Amino acid sequence: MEFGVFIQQYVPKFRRETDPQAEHTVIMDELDLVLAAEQAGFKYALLPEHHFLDEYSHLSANDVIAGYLARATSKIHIVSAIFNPLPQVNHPAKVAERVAMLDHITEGRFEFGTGRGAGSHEILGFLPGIQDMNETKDIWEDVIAEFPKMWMQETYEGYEGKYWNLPPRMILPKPYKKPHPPMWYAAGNPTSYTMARASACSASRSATSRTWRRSSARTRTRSSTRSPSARS
Amino acid sequence: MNDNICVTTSAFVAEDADVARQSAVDSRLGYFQSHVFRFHDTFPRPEGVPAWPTLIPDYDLATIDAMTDIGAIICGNPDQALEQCQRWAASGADQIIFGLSCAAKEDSLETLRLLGEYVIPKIDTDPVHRTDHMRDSAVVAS
Repeated sequence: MEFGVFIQQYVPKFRRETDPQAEHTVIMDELDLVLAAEQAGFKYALLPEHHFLDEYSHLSANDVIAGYLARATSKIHIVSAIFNPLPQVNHPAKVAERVAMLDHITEGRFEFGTGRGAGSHEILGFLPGIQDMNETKDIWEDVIAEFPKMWMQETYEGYEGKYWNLPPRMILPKPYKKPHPPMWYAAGNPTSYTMARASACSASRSATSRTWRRSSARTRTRSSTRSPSARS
Repeated sequence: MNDNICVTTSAFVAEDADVARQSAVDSRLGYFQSHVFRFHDTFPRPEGVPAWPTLIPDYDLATIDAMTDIGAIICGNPDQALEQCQRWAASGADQIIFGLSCAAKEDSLETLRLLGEYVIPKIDTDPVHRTDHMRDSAVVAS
């Protein structure tokens, strides 16, 4: 079993009461903690993308943090515990470009985790019309399999779907290491494991949610780096 | 064939187990968990978790000990942390990831140092990242 750390820029009100610069303090402290983690032998640093979540997570621009850590570290893998790939939040081509660029500047130490938003508060900020948060599952499934194609096809064949469209285009740069960065999925409920398995992503899960059962650790997911053509 | 699952939790490790336990209390995990269920409203909500803005009460030492016993957090001295992490490894987790948000910075630095010195070398003996093995295997298979 390997070890990693997770930062999210948690800025609770009780910290703000004693530190007027608490948000800045947390942002800078967490960078120091990742550097210390690498020094101690931890292998992964996870950085989730969240928006609008006062106190809980101010880590919106996790690509910026990843870019800093890419050159401030040399061994630890930097994982976007969440890049939100929903087209209404981040255009998939721009996400693919960002991941490939991070793969280069980390020289193969960046890993691509995805998620759909923390819940209704975050989701409705970008998708104000939807009635059922489960619709984001359909949107996620509509886009996730396209990323390996965007990285591996010299000219991406393009996509016409229910939620987004892109004509054939070269998505650049191509990843530094072949075939492409490992892919993760943030799993907060049981159906998310099924989604991760079906889409060939690895799954990450919180142990502090009381519904978690140890047996679920054996609900393994498959293939984080398979090409779309190899999917069954 | 790639398969992988990781677990995220919190860790509080100190040379003195009582110092670690108190650090866990002081981190106010209940307040943090209140925000988990405040915003992650698509997560299953366990029975007894109040709806925001009602807060989950702060955890006392007894609650921290109970959470430690069931593996919900890693808490104690290095020997205890090693035993607790070995339980996770035995359960099949490929990675264990520690959130660093709740504890005081100095406490987190000490936790990282002690885990790095006493726990990681005894459990993670492969210098290569598992995901690198996966990626290399995918290249060979393609």
